[in-house]
Amino acid sequence: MTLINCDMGESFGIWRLGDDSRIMPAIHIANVACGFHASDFNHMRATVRLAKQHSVKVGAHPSLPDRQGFGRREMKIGREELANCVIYQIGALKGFLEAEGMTLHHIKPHGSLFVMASCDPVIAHAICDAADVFKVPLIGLIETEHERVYRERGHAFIPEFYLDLDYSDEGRLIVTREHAAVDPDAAAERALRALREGLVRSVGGKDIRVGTETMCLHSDTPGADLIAAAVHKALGMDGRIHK
Amino acid sequence: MKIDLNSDLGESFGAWKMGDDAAMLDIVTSANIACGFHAGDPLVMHRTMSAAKERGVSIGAHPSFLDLWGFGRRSILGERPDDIEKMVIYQIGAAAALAQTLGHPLAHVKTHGTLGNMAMVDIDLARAVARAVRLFDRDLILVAMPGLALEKAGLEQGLRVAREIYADRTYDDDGNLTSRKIPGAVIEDVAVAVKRVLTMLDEQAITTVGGRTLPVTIDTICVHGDNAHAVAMASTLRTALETAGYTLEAFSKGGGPQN
Repeated sequence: MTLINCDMGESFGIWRLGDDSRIMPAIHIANVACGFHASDFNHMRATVRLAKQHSVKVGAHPSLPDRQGFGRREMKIGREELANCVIYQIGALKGFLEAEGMTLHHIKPHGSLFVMASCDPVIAHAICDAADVFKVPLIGLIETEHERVYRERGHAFIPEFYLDLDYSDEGRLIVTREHAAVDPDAAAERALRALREGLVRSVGGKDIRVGTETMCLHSDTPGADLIAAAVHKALGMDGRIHK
Repeated sequence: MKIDLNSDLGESFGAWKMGDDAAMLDIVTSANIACGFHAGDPLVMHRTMSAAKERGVSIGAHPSFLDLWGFGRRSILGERPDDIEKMVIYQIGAAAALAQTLGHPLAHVKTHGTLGNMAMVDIDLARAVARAVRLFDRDLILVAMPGLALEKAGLEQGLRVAREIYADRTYDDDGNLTSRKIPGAVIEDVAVAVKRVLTMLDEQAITTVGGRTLPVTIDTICVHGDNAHAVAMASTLRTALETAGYTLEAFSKGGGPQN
C-alpha cells in the first residue's frame, strides 16, 4: 500500500492557489505550507481544519524564505540559520495542530529546499537538526542524501515517489517554477509501475529506482484532483490503496 | 466627447494570479499598475506594462500601504505623512524605472485601497501623496475623486488632476464612496451601472444616495477586472459609451486634464 501526499494550503492573503477542498478528500497526508513560500496564519488554520474534517494526517512543509519565488529558487543558506528557519515554520504549524487536537505527522521540505537536501548533506543535516526538535518522520527520495543523512541521524524515513514531476537521468527531481498539466492516466500508469517495479523513466529515458511508501501530487498542478482520482482508481484496483 | 476608462491591473504576485489583465487591457485606456506593496512584483509589473504598451494603453503607478498580506486594504494608522511621502516616491520610482526601460513612460499616479480611501478624507495624508508626485515628476497626472481632499492637495501642488468616478459604486452626500458594508453599495447590475455612468457624464454631476446632485468634472471612469462579471460590466460600459458618441482615450493624451 501507498499513501498519497499533497502540498496543501498554498494560498496567500487574497490570492488563491490550488483546489484544496476538492483534493483533500482524495489524499491521505497533507504537507501544509507554513508561511514562507505560501500560506499565512488564516490559510494555515483553515487548511489544518480541512484536513481534520477529511481525516487527513498533517505534516509540515517548510520552505526557504522566498514568497515571491514560491520557494522554488535555490538559495545559499548556512546550516544553523536553515535549522532555525525550519524550526520556526514547524513550530507555527504545530500551534494550529494543537488548537485542533491533532499531532504533527511528518516533515517534508518544500521545493528547492527539498531538492537541495537531496544532494547537499549540509542541508540534509540542517533539516535533521530541526527534526530533532519535533521527532517525526521525514519524507524524501531513496538513494539520495535524504535517505542517507536522515537514517544516519536516526530519523524515520518515508520514501516518496512523484506523480507529477519529472526525474533527471541522475535520479533528481526536476522542480519547475510552474507545474505543467499531467495526463491523469499517464500519472496512474507511472504510479503502478513505481509500485510494482520500483522504477520510473527519467526525462532521458533511463530507469530510476524510486521508493513508494508515499506518492506526491501538487495542488497547483492543473487537474490535480483528477490525477488523484485516476491514481486512486488504478492503485485501488491493484488492491494497494486504502483510506 | 472624450472619456477615459481606468482599471487596477498587475495585481498578481509571484506564483499567485489575480484578475484577467489581458481582457481588461482590451477595454480600458489607462492602467493603474500595482507597485509591489499590495500586489505585483518586478516581473508582474514588467509583464503588465509590456502588455499595456502593446495595446496602446496608458499606464500609471498604483502605490499602496506596504501590506501584501492584506492587499493594501487594511487600515494602517498612525503613519507620519512624511513617511507616506517617501513610501509613495519609492513606489512611483520603481514603476517609472520599469516603464522607462520599456519606452512607455508613466502618465499618472492613483493611490490604492486604504491609502486611497484615507487620502480622499485626510488632507495631511493627501498632501503627502501629492507632494510625492510633484517631487518625483510634476508632469504626472494625479487621479482623484472630485471634491475630496486628494483633489484639493493635488491642485495645491500645481499638479494636473484627473477626476474619477466609479462605475459600480454608490456615493454619499459628501461625494465619497459609500461603505462596501452597506447593502447596495456595490452595483452588481450591469444595466444599472451603465445607465448611472451615462447620466453622470451627461450631467457632469454625481448623484448621491441622499438624492443630491454634486456638480463635478469627470475625466475617467474606474472599472474592475477581478472576476468575469466585472470584466463583462467593463466591456458593456465601453460599448455603451461608444454608442453614446464618446471617444475612448486616455486622459493623459491630448494634453490631459487642464484643471
